Amino acid sequence: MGDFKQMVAIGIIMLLLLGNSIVYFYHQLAQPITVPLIQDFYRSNDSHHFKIHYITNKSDPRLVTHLEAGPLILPEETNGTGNIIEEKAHQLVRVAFFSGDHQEIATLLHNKQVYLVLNDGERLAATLHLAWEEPSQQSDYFLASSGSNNGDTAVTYKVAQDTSIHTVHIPACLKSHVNFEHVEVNGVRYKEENFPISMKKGQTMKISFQINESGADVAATVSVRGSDEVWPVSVIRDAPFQLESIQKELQKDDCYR
Amino acid sequence: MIVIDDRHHQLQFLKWLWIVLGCKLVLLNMIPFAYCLQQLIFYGACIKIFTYCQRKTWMKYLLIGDMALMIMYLLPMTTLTSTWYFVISLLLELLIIIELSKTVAEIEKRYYVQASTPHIMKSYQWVVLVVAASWTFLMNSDNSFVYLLILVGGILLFAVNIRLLLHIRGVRKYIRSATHVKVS
Repeated sequence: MGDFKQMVAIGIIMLLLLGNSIVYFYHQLAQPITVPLIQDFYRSNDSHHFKIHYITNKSDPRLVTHLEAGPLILPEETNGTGNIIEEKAHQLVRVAFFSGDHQEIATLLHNKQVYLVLNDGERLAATLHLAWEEPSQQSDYFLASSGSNNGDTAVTYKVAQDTSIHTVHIPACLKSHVNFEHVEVNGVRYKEENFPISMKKGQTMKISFQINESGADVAATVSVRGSDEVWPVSVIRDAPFQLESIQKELQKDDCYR
Repeated sequence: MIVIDDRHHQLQFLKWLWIVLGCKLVLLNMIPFAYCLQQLIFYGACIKIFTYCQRKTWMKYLLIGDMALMIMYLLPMTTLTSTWYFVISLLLELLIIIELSKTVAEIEKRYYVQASTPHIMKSYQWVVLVVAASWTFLMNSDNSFVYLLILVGGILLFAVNIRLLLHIRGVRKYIRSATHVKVS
């Protein structure tokens, strides 16, 4: 009788093992996926750096060796060392770092198809929205910027001359990722519906945006604008590791090339 | 079931069983070199125990199966294969130890009026089965949960193994000091 119970228990364990294996295979990716990236580059910089996250199965040891965009090849900078950002039950988030000079980034921006190449030669299509940062004409004094983990980001300026704010500018691709919160001038908060607002010379203004959790890495610029002035705010937030939201973001092809 | 008659052989059998169980005391799967060494001593002790067995049992096949599985451990493993390895080798070794414990009970019966090995083996067996069942989830768990499962499983295995070890030691001491053999 003891042997019978024992055999039933072992049978149950084997069933658990099989069931868990089915769950394991269900969660495997057919091939690694890249996390969408929305990034602006400053025209004034001589060299430009950016990183692309990609997600591989835990059992997949392949690493990105370089980036390919038409004739342009950018090598991955760390040679795959220390590239694991996060580890989940079935997948790893890895990061590939790249840098390029002005010319190389211009070539990258012109190419519609960008690939991350793994060390076995497989090419992963990268989902990117890259752009040059729009030139800013603001002449005010930048005082401080702040940000927090939950996506609040704020920049404080000191106004150099009497002026006014008319609009909030968020590029189309960032609309679902960034929300305008408010502008605070001398302690008074103004929402977008209160625009335009006028400011006096010497006042401080704090512009706040909220970056939503989404399936894309964001390293871009939004702004508020006056009649001929632009106050830029950098919005930087990495996508949290949620496979579903990343895959949903990859479906949106209106914004990415 | 294996029956051992000679008292010297009984003592030898218990000595090697002590080594077999000693090998399973600490979970060393995380340190490949130490684990391989531990397994080699385990296999050696099992093979040595067979020399005291008068009848060939299916234990041999269990041991061969476990040794074949060891080759899998030496290959690069994924979380899937390592979970299968963990669970199957635990089950095979449990079955080997259950078989050996039946012999201990037989020996015990010759000296004691009441043999307590089956009682101890009952709890041993269920604890190992529960640990094996919980380890089937290793392949689908986050790292922190994996460490927790292995830690709790390791502590439980240590506890039941040390209990069995102390019991075997007691049996061995008793037999050594026993002057009379109960004739069955």
